Amino acid sequence: MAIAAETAWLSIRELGRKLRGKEFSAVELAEFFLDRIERHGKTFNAVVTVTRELALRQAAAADRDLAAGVDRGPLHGIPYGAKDLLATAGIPTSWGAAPLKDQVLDEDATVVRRLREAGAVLAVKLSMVEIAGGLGYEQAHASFTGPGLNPWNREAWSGGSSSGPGSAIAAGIVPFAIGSETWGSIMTPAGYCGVSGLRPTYGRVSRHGAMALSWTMDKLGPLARTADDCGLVLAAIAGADPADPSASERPYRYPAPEPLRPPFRLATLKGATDRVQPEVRANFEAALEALKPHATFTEIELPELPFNTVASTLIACEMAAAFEGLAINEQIWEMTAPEDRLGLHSSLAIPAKDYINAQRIRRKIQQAMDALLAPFDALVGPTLSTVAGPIAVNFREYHQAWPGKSSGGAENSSGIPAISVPNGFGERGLPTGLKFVGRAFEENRLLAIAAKYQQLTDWRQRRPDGL
Amino acid sequence: MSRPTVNRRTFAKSIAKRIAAGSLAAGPLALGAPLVAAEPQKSATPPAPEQPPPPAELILQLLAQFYPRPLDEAQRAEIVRQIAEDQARSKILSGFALTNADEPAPVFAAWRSEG
Repeated sequence: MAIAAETAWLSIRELGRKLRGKEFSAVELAEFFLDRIERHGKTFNAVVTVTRELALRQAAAADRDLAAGVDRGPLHGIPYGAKDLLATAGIPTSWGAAPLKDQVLDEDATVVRRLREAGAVLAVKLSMVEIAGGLGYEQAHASFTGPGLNPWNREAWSGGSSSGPGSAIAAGIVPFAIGSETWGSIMTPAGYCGVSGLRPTYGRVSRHGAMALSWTMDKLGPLARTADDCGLVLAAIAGADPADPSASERPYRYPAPEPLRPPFRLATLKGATDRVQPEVRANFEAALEALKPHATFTEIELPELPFNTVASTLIACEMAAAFEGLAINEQIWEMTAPEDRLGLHSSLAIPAKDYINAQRIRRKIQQAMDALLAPFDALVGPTLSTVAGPIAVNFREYHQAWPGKSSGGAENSSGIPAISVPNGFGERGLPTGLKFVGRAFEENRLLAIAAKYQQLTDWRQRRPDGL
Repeated sequence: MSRPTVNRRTFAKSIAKRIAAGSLAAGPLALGAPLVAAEPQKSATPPAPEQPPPPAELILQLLAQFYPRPLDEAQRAEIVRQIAEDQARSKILSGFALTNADEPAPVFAAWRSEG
């Protein structure tokens, strides 16, 4: 039985209903998405490895389980893609880097294992910026799989470093994907590709088996069609893990036992729309207007703290420790982007006292951000100051005119969660995003507000032409 | 694993001597290398005293010893620029008001396996 093309754009719950209603089997659903991956994935440079055999095996097991009355939950039989920094036993895990493209690890990442136990079907390893962008890339051509292309406009970048997950969701080639963020790597592709992306609290999700760029900054999280989908995926992957001491013991349940209800207490940053593209400003203002009947708004300001200096120093020092080997064995010189061949060197010479001072100031940042956000359910702002830039243009050059006022350094050095959902379109037909940021371990508040916004608007139902 | 024959401070002093003598960039410095500065060439007129290279240049020279790989001028300039950025960040971090009681964010804990 042929599966309707519309299926590519359904949410996880909608797919689950059809699967359990026997409109298609898990194997048929896997075949449907595998065909889309093989047809469209390379078009956007989104795919590293298609795991067809594994997917069909896992889908067949999902069908057998359902027939036997074993239902593993909302992700049962749902195909997904994993950013290629997640270890998958016996399947290459490249970290986006040319010299590591044949690297095979011998164990599944905890996230991959948990998704398997939840009945999800691994269909594809998705492309990414080499070494998750830690080497300081300044252009889209920074992966051995080619620049991530945006399904809304193939002349534009998909964002990074989770470029494959962003493109894959926007192109409807998988219902959900797992990405990672150290500083911006989920928010950016979610914003640029017009999809929903959740960056969980640091420690909410085990990173065991994920490439370490920065042990104290890395987070794993879902990109999907809706905020609700992100909650369902987070519930499957969250939780303590003896293999990752940073993984929190705090329990996570989704849907929340007592969901947050309007009116939402929202904060906006003073000057949030200064020096952003006009469409970004207009779409943000329209989003606030849509939320107005369901929320109160208070303007706040970030405290004066060296957020970006702290975040940059932490990442640089931890990356230097994690990847010194690339300089020693000279694989660094095989990176795709010329600037990435140089980006590690200076970090190798940062004094230890700078790293320790950054961690000392970080504690003050955490306390200040928590105090700032405590009276609110979320801080809302534009995800990015621009739509995605043209593939050939250097990032610094592109952002010069529209630097915006980002709180990304404050958020990521604090380890607090955020979600980006689409909120309209800007120049060259490219999407813009709306971001909600919350206190540590308050993902469910963010999901409730974002889900409400998605009920009020239809941006998440838009899809690129020709797909 | 054998221990190096010189300690960290002696090694650093030897590097400083060699930088001052202008001999550091000549080749990789091994931990076992003799700790003497290259003898300056004799000349009829004493050379004008030289200013030491800027700190970013010195750090680049050190890096070149530890991770030897020929760099062209553009590559050297880019790495020096990045070192200068790190140093600017270093100044911000050092200038931040911290007290002796301000501990780093991650909490270290003693650990033992189960059982």
